[in-house]
Parts: sequence; structure tokens; C-alpha cells
Amino acid sequence: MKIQKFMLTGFVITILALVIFASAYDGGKAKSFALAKDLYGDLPTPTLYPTSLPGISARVLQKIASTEIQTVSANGIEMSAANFRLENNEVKVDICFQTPNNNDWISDASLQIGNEKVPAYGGTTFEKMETLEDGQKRITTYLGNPPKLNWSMSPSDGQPDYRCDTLAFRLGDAAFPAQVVLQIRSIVSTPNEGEGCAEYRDMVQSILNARSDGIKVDCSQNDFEFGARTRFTIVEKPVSMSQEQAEQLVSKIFSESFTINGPWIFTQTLNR
Amino acid sequence: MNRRHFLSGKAAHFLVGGLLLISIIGQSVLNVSASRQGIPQNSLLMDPLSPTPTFTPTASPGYFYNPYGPSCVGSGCSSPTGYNVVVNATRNEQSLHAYDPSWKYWTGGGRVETKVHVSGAGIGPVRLYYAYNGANCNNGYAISVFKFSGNVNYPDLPSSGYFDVILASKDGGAFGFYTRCLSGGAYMGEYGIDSLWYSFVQPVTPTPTATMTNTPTAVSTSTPLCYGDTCNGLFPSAMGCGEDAQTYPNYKLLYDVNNNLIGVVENRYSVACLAQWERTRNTSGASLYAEGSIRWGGEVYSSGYNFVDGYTSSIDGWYVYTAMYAINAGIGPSLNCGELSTAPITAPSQPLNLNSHYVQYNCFAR
Repeated sequence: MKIQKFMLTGFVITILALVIFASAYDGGKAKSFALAKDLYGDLPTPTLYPTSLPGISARVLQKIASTEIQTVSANGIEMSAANFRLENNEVKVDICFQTPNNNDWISDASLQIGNEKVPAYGGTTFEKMETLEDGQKRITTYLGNPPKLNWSMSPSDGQPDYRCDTLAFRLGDAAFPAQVVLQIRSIVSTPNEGEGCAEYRDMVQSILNARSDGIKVDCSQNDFEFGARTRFTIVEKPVSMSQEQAEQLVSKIFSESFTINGPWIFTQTLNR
Repeated sequence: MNRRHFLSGKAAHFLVGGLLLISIIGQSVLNVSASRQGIPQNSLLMDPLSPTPTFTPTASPGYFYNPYGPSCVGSGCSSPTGYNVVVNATRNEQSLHAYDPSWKYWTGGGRVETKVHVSGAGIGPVRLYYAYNGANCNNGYAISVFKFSGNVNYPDLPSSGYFDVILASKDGGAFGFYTRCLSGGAYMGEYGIDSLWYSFVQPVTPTPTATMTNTPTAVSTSTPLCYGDTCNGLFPSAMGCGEDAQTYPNYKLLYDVNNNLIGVVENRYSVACLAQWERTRNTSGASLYAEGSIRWGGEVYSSGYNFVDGYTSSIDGWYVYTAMYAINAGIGPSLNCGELSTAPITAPSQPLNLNSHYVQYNCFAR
């Protein structure tokens, strides 16, 4: 009897406690929603496509997609595109792609409309996720109207890094509706400030080894007046190869080590 | 007595059990509430700036640097006079000499440099005295000052005189001067610095002039040497502002005449320093000349600008970047411009025509 009374009392107090603290809980939810709205601003209502979305690039793009999301993979890099649109005689399109590291990767993009092919003249990165040195993930967003820069940190979740850009193309006299073809030929990067031998020595040597050219290189880095100078010197080369040829080859491989070729191609019919 | 005891025991049960449950449930609900708010838990903690302005300069041999061919150091440069001899150590004044009389410079890539190694951190104005002979240059002559990780050009200077620069270093390194003919193409003949002096004035300690209004989650691991306005005109890496640098979302892409992507114009910024700068990046894999500028003020960004030009390659680095400009609240937006070329280029002077092709394709506003 004593135990029953005690349990009944506890139950009543439990209900009482839930009622009292429910307001605090709701307040938290409301604030969370408000922050999310601030972050993404007045964007088009997302259209959810129930088909299986393959990976991170499509999932991120889905947050703002108002048209079908197309996803293509090439050279181990997944890329998605959506929201082809015409704004003030410019075509804009949103793309997201995986990034191999947290360097600034830009896309070599062109848009074909009929016989006209125009390169992207610029862009805006509206979201990116980078893995920092301490393993934490930094998510930077630039969304809303007017766009607002925000960022947040989260622990590593095993997801690949990514970057999302709005690419802009200036048009000539194109007639609409028209089929437009977006081609991303490659994504390119450069070593960040302070990067050099530690990041690229092994990569360059492994490419040389794979080519069986018989070239061995050493790397020296000089953080000098204009930033880091990374100098590869030829330690060993075949007798039949001149020093100049060897240096040109190493320079080419070094450059190619921060280029990832596609192509990633997306086709869409665009109405005026 | 027994009944009273029973009643008091029941009351005690009510009281203890109730308080315990309220405490547990309440704490649990509050915890959920707080964690769902998504409010960043970390904030940028700015320690008071406490640089140690103790430059310890040591002259090193002047040398000739040529990305295309042989370079030389010290007496290997066939100087008719001594090299980098400290002629007068009083008042931190030193004299540097670099000279090369040979006829091997055809493409504008070569230059004569002098260099001073500095240990320790500090910031302070430096007065540069110079005298040169650039008579054999085809298209004018310039002295460039490199300050650890950036350079400033001083074209068309009289053949002798002085000028003042702000010198700042976070961890020490090298600063110095180089001379060159202004434009590329065929020029030959001797050129060099006959004499060049620098003189440290009393170092100054930067003072923060603004407070952060944003609440970023990134935490700076070390204290930069400048903040806001005190970063104006200084280079990010020397001031420790590159450590938390990020790239602003907007950018302009650069192409060659065949529409091949060759680079990008970007705006970089540091939260820890509350400062921004322009970066022109060569992504072509080929060696190219680059220029960049960051401009501010008025309707056409004509109040002031920091500019840079240089050579980008696998040896020289793939980018050039300007000195910094503060992003304090109240200061207007910046215009970031840049260009890449196979020939030497310099940033266009002020003011820019905002409707020009250059601004449309090479610049963007932040």
C-alpha cells in the first residue's frame, strides 16, 4: 500500500514536471526552426524527389532544389546540378560536388546553348563543408536574400567534404525554350598558402613511379617573400632524357596533381 | 505516535520523491531543449594583442635571382664593390649592395635582390634609402620592396632618395628589396642597386580598434599581430592572419583567349584579424604573370587600394595576394580585381570605370 501510494505520487509529479517544462522544450524547438529559416532565407520551396539520391552532393543540393537534381560521377568525384534558370540575360545553375581536400576547388565550366558555348564568368559558393586539421567539420553557408555568411562546426561524421556553387554564364542572343548543356571539364585547385613539399612530394613521386620514367625527385620549400616556393629538383633521370625534359615532366605532373578531370555533363531544357 | 510517524513518513516520501523526479525530469528536458537550439557553443576568444616588437636584423649576401637561368650569390655576382656589408650598425642602420653587370636578362624575369633576415616578431616603420642606375632599362625602372610574404612596387622613382614602409613580421623571416626594369621584352645591360639602406624607427604596438559582432565557431590558435584598421596595408601571412583565412563566397574566373580556364580572382578574409585581401590564383599549371588589387571607398571604390603584381609558377607559388584592408563595421565594401597574363602586368590605377570590360570580367564586390 505504501509502495502504491509512493508510485502514484511519483506519477502525478512526473506529469506535473512534464507540463511545467514543456514550454521550455517548445521554446527550444521554435528557436531551432527560426535559426534554420535565417540560415536559408526565402528560398524556393524544395521539391522532394523520392527516387534514390545517390550521395552527398545530391543530398546537399536537395535543400534548395526546385528542379530535378541530376547526378554524375567521374574520376571518383560525384557532382550534382539543379536549378537551371534565366536571370537578367544570364543563365545560372547550382552545382555541388565532393572535394578531395579543403583546398579551394573551382570548376572549369561551360554552357552550350545551340551553337553558342560560353564559359562561366564567375560564381558564388553557397555552401561548403571542410575537414579541418583537428578533424572537425566546418560548414559554411552563404544563403538568403540578401545572402548572409554563416558557419558552424560539427564533429567528423565520415561524410566526404563538398562544395556547392552557383555558376553564372552571360548569354548572347539565345532563343528560348532551348536545350542547354552544362559541361564541367575539370575541377582544379592549387596548394594553399604554406602548403608545399609535405603535401605534394610523395604524390609527384608516386605518379612518376607509376609512369616508370626512371625519375626521382627531391623537393625543397622556401617560404619567401611571395609565398611558398615549392621546387622539385631532379635527383635521378635516364641518360636518354635531358635535364630540361625531366624538369618539364615533373612540373607538368606537379600541376596535374591538383587537377581532377571529368567531364561531368548535365542537360536541361530552359524556358525564358 | 505511530500514526504521526506514518504521516510524516508519507510526507517525506512525497517531498523527496517529488523533488527528485522534478529535478531529474526537469534537467533532462532542459538539456534536450538547449542542445536543440543549435546555438554555437564556442565563440572566438580574442586575447589582448601582445606582440613583442623586437626585430633583430642580420644582413645576408645580396644575390641575383632569375627563374629562367643561373642565379648568383654574393661575390659570385661579380660585383665591383662589397656585398651587404654592414657599414654602420648604429641606430640599426645598415647598407646593402647588390649589383650585376652582366648581359643576360632578356625576359624581365631576372632581378637583383638584397635581403635582410629578421628574427622575432614586430611591427614598425622602416625608412629606405636608395640609389640606383637603371639607365639601360628600356621602359623605366622600379624598386620593389618585399616584406616577408608580399611585395610593394615603387615605379619611376628618382635615381636616389628615400621612402617609408611599414614592416611587420610574425615569426621573423626575410625582407628586402629588388630592382627590375618595368616591362618585359628585350632589354639588356647592367642594372642593380648601387646602394640601399634601411633604418628602423621605434616599433609600435598595434591596438585593437573594433570588436567582433559575429559569433563564429572557429577558434584562433594563436594571436595575430593586427586587428581591423591596424591591419591596413600589411600582409596577412606576416601578421599571422593567414592561419584562419577563408575564401569569400564570390569569385571571378579568368580565361585565356581560347576560353581555357587559367585562374580565379578571390577575396580572402581572416576573422581573427577582421581583415580581408585579394588573391589572384593561377590554376593553369603554366607560369604566368599576375596582378591583383583590393579597392575601397566612395561610389566607385576610389578612396584607396592595395595592389600587387608578380610572377606565378610552380617555383614562385601559384598566387599573388595584396596587403590587407580592414572589414570593420562601417567601412564600405571592397572591389577585388585580378588578372593573369603571359607578359608582365600591373593593376590598373585608380579610379576604375565600373562599366569597363576589366571590371565586368576581372572584378567583383564584397
